Amino acid sequence: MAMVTGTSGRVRVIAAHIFMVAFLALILFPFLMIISISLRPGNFASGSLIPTEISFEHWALALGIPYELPDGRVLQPPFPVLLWLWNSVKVAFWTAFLILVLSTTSAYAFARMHFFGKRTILNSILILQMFPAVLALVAIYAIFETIGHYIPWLGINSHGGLILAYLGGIALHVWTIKGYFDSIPKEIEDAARVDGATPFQTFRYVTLPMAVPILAVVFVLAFVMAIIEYPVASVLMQTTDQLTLAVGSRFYLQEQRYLWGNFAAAAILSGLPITIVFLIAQRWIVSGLTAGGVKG
Amino acid sequence: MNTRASVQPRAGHLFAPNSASRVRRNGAYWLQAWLPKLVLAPSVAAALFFVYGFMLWTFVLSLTNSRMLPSYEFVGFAQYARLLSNDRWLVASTNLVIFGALFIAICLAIGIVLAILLDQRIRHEGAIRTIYLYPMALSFIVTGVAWKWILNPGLGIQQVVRDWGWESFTFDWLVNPDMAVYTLVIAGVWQASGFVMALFLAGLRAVDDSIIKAAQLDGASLPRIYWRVVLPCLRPVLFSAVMILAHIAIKSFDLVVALTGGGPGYASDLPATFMYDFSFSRSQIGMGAASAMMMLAGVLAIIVPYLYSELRSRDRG
Repeated sequence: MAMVTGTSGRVRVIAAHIFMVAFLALILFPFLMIISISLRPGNFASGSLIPTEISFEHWALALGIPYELPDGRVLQPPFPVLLWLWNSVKVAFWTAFLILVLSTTSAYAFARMHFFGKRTILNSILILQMFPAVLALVAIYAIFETIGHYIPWLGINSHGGLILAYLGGIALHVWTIKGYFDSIPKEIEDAARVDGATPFQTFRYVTLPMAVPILAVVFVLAFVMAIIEYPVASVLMQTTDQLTLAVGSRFYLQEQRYLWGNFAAAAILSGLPITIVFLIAQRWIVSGLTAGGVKG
Repeated sequence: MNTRASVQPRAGHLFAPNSASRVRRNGAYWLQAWLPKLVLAPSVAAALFFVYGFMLWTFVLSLTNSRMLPSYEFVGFAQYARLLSNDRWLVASTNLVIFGALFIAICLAIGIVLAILLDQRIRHEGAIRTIYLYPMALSFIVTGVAWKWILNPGLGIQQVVRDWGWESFTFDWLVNPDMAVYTLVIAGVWQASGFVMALFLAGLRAVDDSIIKAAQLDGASLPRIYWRVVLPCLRPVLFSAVMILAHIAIKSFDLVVALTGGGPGYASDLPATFMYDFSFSRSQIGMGAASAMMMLAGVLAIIVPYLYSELRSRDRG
């Protein structure tokens, strides 16, 4: 729905462009700044936006390569950034995958099947998701400590436990996917049923292929949320080799010494997996959101 | 799912099952009756366990005098009494109200304006959209640190403007106890407004063209069409956006940690950081749990009536 009709169209389009570009600059500025800091020698935050002198020391350190300074000193990488990145990607991928499986199936049940208490359960999970995990940190810690005594790979300081904790965030996704299923005409499924398909076949071969855009959106959102999540991961992960990058990058910013440059390089690196997933899924995002959203 | 074997789907087409599958049919009907329960069980169990379970446990802890480790020595509502007389808690909850209201309102305003503008046949719309959406993909830690640098009086905007020759320019919100909470709003809006824009853009694209045509034929001006026709159509989107933004506002924890650290002093504390600090740094798990329950109560008091009226009006319409 583009509403550029009428005589004042041209002026409006130009004004809109100017505003857009101005806002674009506002959005981009912090990004450029981070990139600029990551390319400056030393760990100083001050300086001009365009670095006068470019040094790849922070990038080398972030990628785990020792860097030799001009005066002969060798800087060792302070933290295993690549390992943290791998941890992040691993946890985020499994979280997003499991969330997708769980929320798709339950959204289908909510959208298409009739059973007792459907409305109540639906509304209550929407309210439940307003209770953020941050507030339950104490309980999360206590519960995973207990679980860890019986199933070590789901306890504290295990990625299994972290993924399990993230699965609590499915409520929003169930609503999003349900909204999409609601927008698919029931008649299509009836036709399949008349042809003798079982409910599962109808779901698997008729409804699911039509829902790909919204599934992409949910996967991306779940992936992004798991990558950038901080509080739960910071409580559950305890040893250096298990940290995710979002938690680990905090270590660059100790009270006394701020490793701005190293932090900036690690921060850009942490955006990398998200950028890739974003670019792959971006064509579905807007179309998926169109039909998704919370629809009663 | 043994029933799958009887049907060979080919590129989305379905074959009618042959007559030999009658026995399997019975299985299918049984499956149909039980499928909702089977399918929902894992998700509902997860939601129940992770949300109700955590809430309940938090509530139990809030009634005990747990300090460093959870203990089960009940002290009634003493933790709540201590909490309410704690000055820092009052600051934190006031901050949440200020931050939440401004964050949600500004994000919505910017998001709607951007979506409407982007809907005017802008060139390179796809690229612009991606850039606007991108801050959401940064962790709040990164956002917080970047803005900490920009807003730092000695390094960022203030210094730059002074270098330009305007010596008396001051922009010290980050270190000013009265203004520190507004820096959280700035960084939060920067991060989230693009996502709100995507939601509204998607909503705008879904508005039925014929309604707008009708309004145009009736001679309505463009701003009037947007205000009276298009925006009311976006009510479900507004609802989702408010729910998501409120969720972000309540859980804003990492942003505070990275940007202000709750400071100066505890001037920009939010309840989430208060809770974290008391539970994990100060070994006051009981009081931390009590503050979490207070927040839950506050959230329910605000969200539930809105949710209820919104879902109610949709059932009628």
